[in-house]
Amino acid sequence: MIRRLPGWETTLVVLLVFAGAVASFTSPFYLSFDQISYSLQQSIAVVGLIALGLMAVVVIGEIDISLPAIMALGNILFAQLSQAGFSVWLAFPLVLFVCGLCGLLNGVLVVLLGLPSLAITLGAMGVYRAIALLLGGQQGFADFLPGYFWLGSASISGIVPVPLVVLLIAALLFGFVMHWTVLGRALFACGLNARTAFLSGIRVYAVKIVAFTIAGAMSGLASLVYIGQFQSARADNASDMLLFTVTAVVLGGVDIFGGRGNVVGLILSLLLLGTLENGMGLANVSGSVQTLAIGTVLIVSVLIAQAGSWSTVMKRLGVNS
Amino acid sequence: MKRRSTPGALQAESLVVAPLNRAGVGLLRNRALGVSVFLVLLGLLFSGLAPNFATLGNVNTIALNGAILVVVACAEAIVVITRNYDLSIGSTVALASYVGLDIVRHFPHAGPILILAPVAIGTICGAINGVLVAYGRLPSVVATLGTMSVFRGLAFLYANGGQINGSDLPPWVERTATSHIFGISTLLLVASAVVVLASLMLGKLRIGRQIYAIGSNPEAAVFYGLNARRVVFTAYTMAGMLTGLAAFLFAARASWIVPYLAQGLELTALAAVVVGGVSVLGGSGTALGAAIGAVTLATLDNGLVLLGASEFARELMQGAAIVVAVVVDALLQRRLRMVLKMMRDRRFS
Repeated sequence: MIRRLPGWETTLVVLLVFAGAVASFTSPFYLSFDQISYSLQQSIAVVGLIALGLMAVVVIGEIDISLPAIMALGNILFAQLSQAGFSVWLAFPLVLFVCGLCGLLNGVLVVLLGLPSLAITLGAMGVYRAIALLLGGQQGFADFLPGYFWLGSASISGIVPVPLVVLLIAALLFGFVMHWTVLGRALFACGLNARTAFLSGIRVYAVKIVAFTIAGAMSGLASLVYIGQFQSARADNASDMLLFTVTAVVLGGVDIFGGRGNVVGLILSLLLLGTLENGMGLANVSGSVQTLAIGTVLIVSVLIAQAGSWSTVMKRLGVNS
Repeated sequence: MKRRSTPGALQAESLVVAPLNRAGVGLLRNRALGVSVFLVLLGLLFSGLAPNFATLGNVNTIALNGAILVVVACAEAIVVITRNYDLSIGSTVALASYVGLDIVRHFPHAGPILILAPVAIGTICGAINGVLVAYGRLPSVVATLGTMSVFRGLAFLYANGGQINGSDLPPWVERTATSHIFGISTLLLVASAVVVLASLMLGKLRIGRQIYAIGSNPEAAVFYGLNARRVVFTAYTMAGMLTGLAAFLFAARASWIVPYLAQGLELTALAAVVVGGVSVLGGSGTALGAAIGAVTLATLDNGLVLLGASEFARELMQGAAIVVAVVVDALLQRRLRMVLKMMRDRRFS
């Protein structure tokens, strides 16, 4: 639907430049490479990885609100594995597997029960969060083996933060899979019209489960970056990340009803949101106002996206008023 | 799917269909009854396990804790029956109770008429959700996720770091939570009144029937001539009104009011609604069921506290309760679809 609007990506680029300009006017500290790259990796690396996974789910016309909870579970698992003396090379695949399994479970339940994914992932969210709490209790873990921090805190030759590189690589990979492979086309086909996709030989159920599994695994990857960035893990990590993630996906032009969207738009919207957050932070805007602003951005961006399809929806429903 | 059947097969089929029909429809009709049975069993289990569960004082605690949840569950139920969701309930409660009670604080002599202040703010919040979902045609999850942060942010902005102490408020506020009428807590009476009124509205009034019609088949309801947008908007507004009332009750019970009040309340409300047998696909369920769901959750929580379970175990149980309720919902819906399909096949073969 959003594709009918002239150049959503162009709009995002213009907004991004505008936001950057405003930020550099309001604060003298904004315009420096170190400042921008540091705050961007703080605000969008983890969210971006989850948002990429969420995009795969939204494209098939579903939603998964349990992803931040899955990431918190991953954090606790990393903490426990590190304390048990596992090297990160062993822990990483293990956590990736468990988080992927959580996603898989969501997908299987959605497919088997045929109910709205919101209701199912809502329950799943409670369960995953509670498992994380049961495993980790309420204390924070801070003593990790040194290898665990590299992915989230190192920088390449002291300039480019690794989390941003990880996000870039993940985005390129996602872009390739979503837009140039059979699986990607199948994801979009399921989102546009599941029945047609089924009739043309796509195994809709399998594709849906794969999308949920990818999203779960991406949360596992995000978890390792998170640990590197904050150098600690707690079971209630990321409890307010959902808003930012969904906003990034929707603002990026991914149709919330499925079937449309692309990775470029998602990355642009992440950069825009990151810049907004950075600029507001430098201008001493309080956290609650930032949340308010991001909530407003979410509503406005869906409203605009919907307006592009206004007439089509009305025609389809035969409503004249 | 067309099926041709001989008269003999028809007869055999009707033998199969009749009991299935009765079982399927009966189960759907009596889902509130099923939850009630579960509630009774839960009560028996806890009274066996925890010695001080089945005391009058504890039952009173459960009732008082459950009363507010019952009100928000009714609000959420009205929205869920239209096949939408409201994730902004917790934030609406925070905004309505802070701003509403701030008004009460500034006009201490106006008396209980000022209950209307939080109710009005809740109604406005609900109307905003309604405009976005019904007229803006936003998916309800996205719209109310956005308003969730907007309302919460507004509450923080308005509070500006402050809080309202119970001692600053006129005494009638606290008395709403502590007083008794004919020996029954006022809080309970208010909650019961809400359930009765919501049931009457959903069951008897035209708007109530329209809410069910929209939820069970939006396209058919539109073709039938219903103004789908107006009905959804009204549903959200009514839900907001009830949430505003709940905000007042919240404030009356709490000894101080802060903008981070009632965080995560929307999830508990949704859980209560789903446990109470309101279908997540919309179109079925009752306010009474949602209320029983709310009481069930309150009982579960209370029993687990008495058994010394950790906060996390209770959170786990709540998540699990949603999953189980959703699965049961799915199975019942499937059974109903099957029955309806068999009835249709029989009619057209």
